[in-house]
Formats: sequence, C-alpha cells, structure tokens
Amino acid sequence: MSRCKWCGTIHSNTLTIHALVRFELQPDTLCFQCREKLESLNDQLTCRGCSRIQDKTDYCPDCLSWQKTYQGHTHIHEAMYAYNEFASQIIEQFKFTGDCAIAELFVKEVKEYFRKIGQTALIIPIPVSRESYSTRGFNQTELLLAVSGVTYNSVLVNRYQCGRQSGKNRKQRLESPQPFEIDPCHGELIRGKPVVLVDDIYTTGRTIYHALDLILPMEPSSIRSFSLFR
Amino acid sequence: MDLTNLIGRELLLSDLLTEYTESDLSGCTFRPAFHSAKRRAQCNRCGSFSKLTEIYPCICGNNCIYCRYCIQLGKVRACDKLVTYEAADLFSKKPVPYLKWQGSLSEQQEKASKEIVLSIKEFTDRVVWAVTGAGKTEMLFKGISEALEAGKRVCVASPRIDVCLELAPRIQAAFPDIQTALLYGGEESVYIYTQLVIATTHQLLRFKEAFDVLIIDEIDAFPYYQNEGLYYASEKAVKKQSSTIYLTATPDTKLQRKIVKGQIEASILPARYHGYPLPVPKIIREKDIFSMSDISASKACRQILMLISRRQKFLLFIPTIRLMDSILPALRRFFSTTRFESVHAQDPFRKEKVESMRKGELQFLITTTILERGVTFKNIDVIVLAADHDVYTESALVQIAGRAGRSADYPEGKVTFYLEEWTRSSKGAVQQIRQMNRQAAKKGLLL
Ligand SMILES: [Zn+2]
Ligand SMILES: [Zn+2]
Ligand SMILES: [Zn+2]
Ligand SMILES: [Zn+2]
Repeated sequence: MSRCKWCGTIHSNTLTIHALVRFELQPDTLCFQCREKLESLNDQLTCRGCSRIQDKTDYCPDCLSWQKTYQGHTHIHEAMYAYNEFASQIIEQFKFTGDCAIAELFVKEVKEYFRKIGQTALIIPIPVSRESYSTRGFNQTELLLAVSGVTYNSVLVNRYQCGRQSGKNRKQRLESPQPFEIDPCHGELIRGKPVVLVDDIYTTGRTIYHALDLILPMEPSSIRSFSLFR
Repeated sequence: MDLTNLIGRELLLSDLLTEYTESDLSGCTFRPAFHSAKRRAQCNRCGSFSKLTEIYPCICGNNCIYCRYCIQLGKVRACDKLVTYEAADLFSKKPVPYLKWQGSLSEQQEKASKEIVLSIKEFTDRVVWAVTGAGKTEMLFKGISEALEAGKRVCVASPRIDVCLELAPRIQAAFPDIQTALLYGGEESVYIYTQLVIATTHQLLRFKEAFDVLIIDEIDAFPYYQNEGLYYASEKAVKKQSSTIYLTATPDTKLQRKIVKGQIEASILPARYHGYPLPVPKIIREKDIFSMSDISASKACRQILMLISRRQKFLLFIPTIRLMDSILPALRRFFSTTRFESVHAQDPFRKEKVESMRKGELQFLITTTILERGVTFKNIDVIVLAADHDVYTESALVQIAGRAGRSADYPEGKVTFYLEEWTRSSKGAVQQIRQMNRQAAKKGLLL
C-alpha cells in the first residue's frame, strides 16, 4: 500500500506486467486512476523527429521545416507523455504552485531513459530565467534530473532577467530571440561528446533549437533531446 | 499601520511582507512554519507531517522542507514564519435581533434550534445529525443571531465549495445588516475583517483562535484521512473558549461512536421535513454490468426500460468516468430514442446538463458521484450500478439514496442498488437509513 503522490489516494498499484518482469516491486508513485490519465507516447504512432502524435511515424511538417533550416542536422527529440489536460495540471502544480515533490512522480521514467543513453553523455538541462528561478527557488528540469540521480551540467544559462514561454502563442514563441548563452566555464566540455538536452515540455521546438544554435558549433559528437511532455 | 485585518488570522510572513513592512508587524507574534514531531516535520498551518528527508531547493538558497498538503493556499517553507496579531475582537453587544428570517420551523427543527442556541451560549460542541432533506440551514439561524448579538465572531464552513456558495446567499438574506466575508479557493476577493465569515474548511487554515462559534456543514463530505486535516483546521480556528457545531447527514463511524458514548452532545433529526420516511434502497444482486458483453439481458437494463416506459425520471450513478465511458456507447445504442445525458466532475457542460435535467427535458441523467449531494431534483428515482465499487463510501451511498423522495409531491421515490457482493459500505448505508426511519417512527415524526 502506498499513497498516490498526485491525488493522495491510498492504493496498491504495484503489480504491472512490466514490474513483474523486472522484479520491481516498488509501489507506483501514482494510483491506478491517475496513472491512466497519463497518455504514454511510446505506444502510439508519433513523429520520429519530435514525438508528436500523428497517424504515421514519418517526420511531421514542423520537423521537415526545421530540417530545411538546419541542413546536415536531423534532430531527434523524444518525449514520454502527451501534454494533455492532466499533464498541464501536473506542470501547473510543479512549476507555478512550486510543488517540488512532483519531480518524484517521474523518477522511474527519467532513470530508464538515461540508463539507455549511457554514462558518457553530457546532459544539459534547459535553464529558466533568473526571475522564475528566484520566485520558485528551483529549475524544474534540473530537479527532475536530480531526484532521478542523473548527473547533469548546467552548460546553458538564461541571459534574461525575466520572461517565460508559457503564455505566449505559437507565433510569438517561434519568433522569440535567442534567450541562452553558454557558460564559458563549461563550454569546452561539449567538444566530441554526445549531448542530451533536457526540458520539461516540448511545444514548438523553438527552445530546443535555440539551444542547438549554441551547442552545434561547439562540435559535439552527437546531439538529441528529451522532455517529459510533448 | 492598521492591523485590523490580521485579527484572528495566521498568515505567512513571506506573504505579509508584500503588503506590510517588518516594522508594521512589530506587534505581532511569530512562530516557525514547521516544528519537529515524532522524527518528522509538522506543518504548523495545516498539521500535516513531512519526512525530514523531503527537502528541496528553496528560495532562501538552501534546501528546505515545504508542506505539500496545504500548498494550494501558498507554499509553507520551513524557513518561513507564521504570523498572528493577538488582539481582541472589535464587535460589541447589540440588543437588537439581527435575524430577519421570517419562516417557521418544524417540531424537530425547533428542538434542534434550541439545543444549538444552548450549546453556543455554554461554549460546548454539538453534532447535528439530520437526514438528507431535513432542512438544516434554517435551524442554525437562531443560534447565529444570538451569537452575533452577543458580539461573538461566527464562521459557517464546509469542506465543499458548492455548499458554501449555496449557503452564502441564504445566510446573507437572513442577516442583511451584517457584513459577511465569503472565502473559498476560487476567485480570491480581498479579505476584510467581518463578524460573520462563510468559508471552505480549507480557508480555516488561515485563521487562528478567531471564532467564538464555528459551524461546519457536511463534515462527512470527505473520506476520513482528509478529515484529520479538517479537525486540525477547525480546532486551530476557534478560540480557547468556543462552540463548534458539526452538521452532517451521515456521520463517520468515529463520530457515531462519540455520539453513542456521549462524548459529544447530539441533536438527531431522523425525519424529512415532509414527514415521509427515507427511501430504503432495494438491493438487486447482479454481476456487474460493465463486464457483460450484452447488457440488454441485464436486470438493470430491464428496469431502465420499464422506468422509461412509465416516463419516470431517474438518476443513474456509475462509479468512475472510465466505466461511464465504457458503457455509454452501448446505452446510446440501446436507448437511442430516449433523451439522456451523462455528467462527471470535469464536464464543462455539467451545469447546463443538470439544469436541463431539472427542467424535465431529460428522461434520465447518468452521473459519477459528483451529484451525490447538494443537487436536488424533484420526483426522481435513483439507480446505482456497481454499488459494491470501492468509490462508494457508506456516507456517499446514504447521500445518493437521499436524492430520491425529496419533495412532498413524490416522497416515495425509489432507490435501487445493483451489486454482486455486499460491501461494508453498502450494508452500512442500508442499516443507517433503516435506523433513521425507525427513530423517526418512534419519535412520532412520520406521517
Ligand atoms: Zn492518484
Ligand atoms: Zn516532428
Ligand atoms: Zn501545511
Ligand atoms: Zn528555505
């Protein structure tokens, strides 16, 4: 028996087939009802470039247009769950209400992803503005990684005092200028290394491609990205 | 700086500093936001415990414990302080009666009303156990009125927002000369210091030693483990010498035991205002309909068809949204010529659908437990599918059954529970309803 970290219900949601196969008898962080509301992208047809839900696995029009801009780099972004109504409630509670423990909901998924990525990769979280950082006291992406025991490097820093992507419409997001710069102390780490960029949500891809603009010239051996939601 | 608005409040220092300066608050009392208890950290605002290891990066630059349980009221961090302003209330005695309500009370209401007045006068606690449809609000008026006239500060609270929103206009209409604050999570209006407060029990956490009288309606609205927080909140919000009145249609076992043992005084109202007994659920044993490949042969479907043919309106309760979704297509196919709708908590058209049911435009309404209380329809029957499902607590089933037979025009509304196995909740619910009917009969309150 354990308590659902989202709704507080006492539950015994342990024995999924997956858990049995892997001898994981840790109780789930979510109760059955809440777990069901998360829409996994793994078992659906999604764009191979950005995990968007569609009826085939080919690159979606957005990815094709990014590819045109970034000749020579075909970017692969992987996301775990659809950014549905439930996901937006979770993110709201996590980032804006400041409920840090939400990070613990996804430890299993994050661990699993980075176990496959391997030890050598340089893991770079997307930074938040200084204003968001000081009112919240944390960067949600760093916290997600930290509670999952994933070592990361804060290579990117946010140049801006304030401003955030949520609340902007698609056009405003796509037109937003480069918000990041590379922390000179860490810049040299990138060369020749496989890099994984991490964010909480992937919406238009603008944020990730801004980060790419800075990191690609530093010649990593490969680069991909990961987010919890898409 | 005027600190009147802080009388009886307990707020976070970090929040107050957006409105007041440190020196404004120099006359206040401060305490840490957490204290350690039983090798855990207890939040001083809501009383919940956090593990000492649950620390996270904090605005102070360190890692701090914070409280997840009351976070919707603003984040309580271990490095923050709770602030109270200990000053006496500013309300004086008034010889004129505040109550402008003109209605009359039934015999059993009159008796309960007098008992409430007495409890308030003597600063004792009381449970008012009144069956669904007994008319609870009216019998509070006298007690509230006398408390206000004595210069006491009064709060009427409920765990449910919709109950607060429904109570507020009725109470305001009864006491038109008293300024009332209505506090609930939704649209946060500016707080002002008033003698009469209507609030969700969650909002009580922002008070400390504030009220002489606290009336809590529908204390049974949440399962027990959430009620622990409710008791903490209510104990914190009242003054050392005060009276708390608990209103419920279905007290939990803990409270029932207290009543039986005489640990708390109780007023029991076993009869509805119209004097007809509560409908006792009829139990039909059937394998749960959601696992049937063909529902048309089920007893439940046959009953629904029969009700439709007699044009009897009814509510159909289904345990979860998921089960509702799973059965809707079959019902739509099967009852294609009948007008009905389905509602659940997140339904954006919930209000409209309930309204159209109330107007009689729908033959029936399929619902999850959200309509278990509060909402009343005239002349309806009630059917509960899978009444042995975990979501149904004893009190939820009593409340659901209480939807039927509310009006004097159709007091014999029928309630049917479909279940495969008896559960503690379903058994308890039927027993509770029978017991109230017996009591009402014994007291001669039934027609
Ligand atoms: Zn849950
Ligand atoms: Zn794509
Ligand atoms: Zn708390
Ligand atoms: Zn702190």
